[in-house]
Amino acid sequence: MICALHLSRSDLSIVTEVANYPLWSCSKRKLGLPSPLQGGVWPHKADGLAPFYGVAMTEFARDTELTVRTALPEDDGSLAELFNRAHSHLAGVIRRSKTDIAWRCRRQPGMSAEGAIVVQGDNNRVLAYAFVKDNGDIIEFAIDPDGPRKQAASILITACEQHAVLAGAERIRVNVPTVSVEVEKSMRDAGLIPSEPEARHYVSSTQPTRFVASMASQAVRIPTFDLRITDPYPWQHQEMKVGSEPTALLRIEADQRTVNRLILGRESPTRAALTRQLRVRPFRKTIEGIRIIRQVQLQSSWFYSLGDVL
Amino acid sequence: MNYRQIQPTDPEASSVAAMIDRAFGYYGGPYWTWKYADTEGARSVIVIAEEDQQVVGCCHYLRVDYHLGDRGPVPALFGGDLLVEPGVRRRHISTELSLTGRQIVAEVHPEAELVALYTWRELGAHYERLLGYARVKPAFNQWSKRLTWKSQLERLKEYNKDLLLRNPDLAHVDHVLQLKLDGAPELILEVGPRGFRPVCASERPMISIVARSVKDLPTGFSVSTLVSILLALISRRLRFRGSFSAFREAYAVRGAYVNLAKTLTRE
Repeated sequence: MICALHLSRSDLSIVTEVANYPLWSCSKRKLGLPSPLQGGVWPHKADGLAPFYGVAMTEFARDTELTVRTALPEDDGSLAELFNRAHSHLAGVIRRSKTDIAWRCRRQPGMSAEGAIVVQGDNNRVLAYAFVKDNGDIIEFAIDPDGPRKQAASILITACEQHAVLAGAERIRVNVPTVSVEVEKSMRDAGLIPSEPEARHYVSSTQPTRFVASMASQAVRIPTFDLRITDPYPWQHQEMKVGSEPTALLRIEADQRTVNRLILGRESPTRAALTRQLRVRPFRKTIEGIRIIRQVQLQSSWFYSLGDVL
Repeated sequence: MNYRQIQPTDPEASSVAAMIDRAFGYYGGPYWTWKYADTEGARSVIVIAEEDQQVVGCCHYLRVDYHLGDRGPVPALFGGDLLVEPGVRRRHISTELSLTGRQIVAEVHPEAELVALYTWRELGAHYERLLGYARVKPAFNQWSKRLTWKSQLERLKEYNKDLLLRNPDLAHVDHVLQLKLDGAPELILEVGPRGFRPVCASERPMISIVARSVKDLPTGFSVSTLVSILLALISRRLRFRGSFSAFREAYAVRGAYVNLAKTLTRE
């Protein structure tokens, strides 16, 4: 069976073209008939493509043919590259490698080979991919930022839902960055609803002084300063000079929690200074100290996919 | 109480896996083996609390590389699966485990600059207050869609048992409830002496409840619940439609309706 989804900007009509393959459904799966998701020799396999997933889709508006297929282990390198590129503007994302995809996604309990789905465009370019577990958790969902994002996301989420239904899942869920407006639109069009995640992400630095120094080293033109943690654990450094100048311009003092909140962008340095959680010595250089913290502060939004936290 | 690191191949590891399996259900033993004992996977650090040679608590860390947006990658640790046996709780073992665990993992992976946790709000507040963690604001939404009501309908069968005994007014009720929730298939239930039973369609008087989320359904009679219902009605997150006779019947069996909402909202 080949299902072709003909997408246009204003209209999404589904055309099902029944070819040589028998229509495959949940009931037939129970009877033990082979699944088109299982791959193998496929009658309509195009040259250079892995076995079809069973859904070929064409987006006429852009003249780009988007194809859905099962992601194979040999794709993992390009999937990792796509994931890292698609999330490069976000913080908190665990960088992917070929080995990491193999472990994190393919070998995760509850994951079947058919749950790895790729959307590809012209010249077999990977435009999007997802890993859906049999319980409907989409542990990885990445869309090429330079491709037709909305179309790729629509096709991918449809394929994910299709897999989840066949696997007997009761619901699907996926994390999508709020900055991805087009992808969020695709989610809404597919009938998904947004909610805040129930659990939350908490971050701390193992060595606050070293972390601040590391962050400062990536910022431009920061004067040298001393950083003093007021409540270090015995294994942590209490004080560190940040910068390369022989003498420090000022000294910044704060407790660990304040330093973490300031650097991770959860606390305003001005407010921290006003409430004396952040102290700058000498006092007259407080404004300079606030400016330094602002430059060191992490600006990127935090994101994690479900595969990062399971 | 003794706190120390163990390897996945140590004999104590099986106790840890069993403890995780008992506590976390679906995310139990197989997950533990995959996450912390897979030699080809991420590098893990397992820290245990033991008393009288018995493992009574554990916490885990994975060595990962976090990408920090415009600041590039940093070596980091992802902590998780912190657990203390129910019999020894309320002795601050989890706090000690967190502190000692962080010290041990910082020695094992001195290059790591960050340590991250993913946990519930209540536990997270504890980490913020006592251990200096900062909660990062998520810049994403979790999108979800219910594909079927199968398990809820199974639970409903149980709920329907003896329902008439608990709600005698159901004997005089005969209408249909249509439940339309965003991100879920429509659910139509007949309401009568046999309880709430799924039907395809019906000509009987109908109540239609349209809600944004299953969380907007009324699940009690407390003041706070009534206020949240009122707010949901004003903001149009919750809407009721239907015939007057059906509403009158539903009011007579409101207790059964509220418990129905609880049954449907339970995951």
